[in-house]
Amino acid sequence: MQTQLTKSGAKWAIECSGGPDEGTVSKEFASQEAAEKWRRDVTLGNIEAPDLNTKPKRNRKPSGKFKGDNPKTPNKNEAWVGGKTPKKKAKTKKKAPAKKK
Amino acid sequence: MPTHFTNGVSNTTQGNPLYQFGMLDPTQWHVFWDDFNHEPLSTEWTITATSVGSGTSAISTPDVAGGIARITTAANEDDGLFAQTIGETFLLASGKKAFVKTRISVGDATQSDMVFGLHSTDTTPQDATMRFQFESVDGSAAIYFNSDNNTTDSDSETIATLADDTFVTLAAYWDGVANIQCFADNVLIDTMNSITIPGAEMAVGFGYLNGAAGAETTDIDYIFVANER
Repeated sequence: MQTQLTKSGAKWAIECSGGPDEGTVSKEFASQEAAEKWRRDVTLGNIEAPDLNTKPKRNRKPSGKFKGDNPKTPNKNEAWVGGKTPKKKAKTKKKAPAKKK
Repeated sequence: MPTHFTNGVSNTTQGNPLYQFGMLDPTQWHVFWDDFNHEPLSTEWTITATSVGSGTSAISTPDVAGGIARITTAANEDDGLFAQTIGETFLLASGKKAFVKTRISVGDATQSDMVFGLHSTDTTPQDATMRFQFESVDGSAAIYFNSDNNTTDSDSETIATLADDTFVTLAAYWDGVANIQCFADNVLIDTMNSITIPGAEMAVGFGYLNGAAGAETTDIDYIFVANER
């Protein structure tokens, strides 16, 4: 994992990135000390490293069953972790076999 | 004209399963060798970068003959980058010889902090719990060898006085007894005696931080670490 500590205005941020199949996670901190402590704790294994797996995950109820979308909240999809509906992959159309002449 | 051993060369004794193997037994040593033909990837290395000033601290392998890992820093003091292998796979032991060798060129020899060698996993390897590495601290161009087992912290004499953008070869040899020999440009400079080596596994690591404002470039030609099994 790569961590990049930067400063933007009064806030400190750490951007975590990984391999080519992984995404990027950013965390903001109020101070440089807090940011560096978090980064150190992740490296030393004192706290869990952020999940860089970008594959969409289904949300689950406490019982373990899949959670459904709440139609009353059109801007949020409760069925997915993070509340965003994953984009559907474009299907490749099969070519129709060439007609015999 | 080289000498040709057409039947091969061996360092095994009769009865060893590799007795008929026509090369030296590679399993007798645990070896890490990176000539930096490709960029240190975040899937193999934990990379800790700080970019508070303008620009971005990063590591790359530019088109340079021989292969180098190049650390470029952002422009503030303490901006820079450390890289360490994800696994801690080197454990020094009594009766087992070990070597660390690297060739480096640093951007600012005096205004910088740097480490090269073995240390326990840490985002600030200058004060990692276990250390067996070359170090140079901000405000000094001297590089020395440091062995720390979390109880006894031992520094060598100055092994080399670094100059900006000038390559130097650094090496250390643990004799498996109590001594560490330190070399600069393949010349023995100092022998550290009565050393208690780090007692836990360590990762291969290196890195450079600015000691003053201004972007810098540091090149690491290679890192070699070997530990007798």
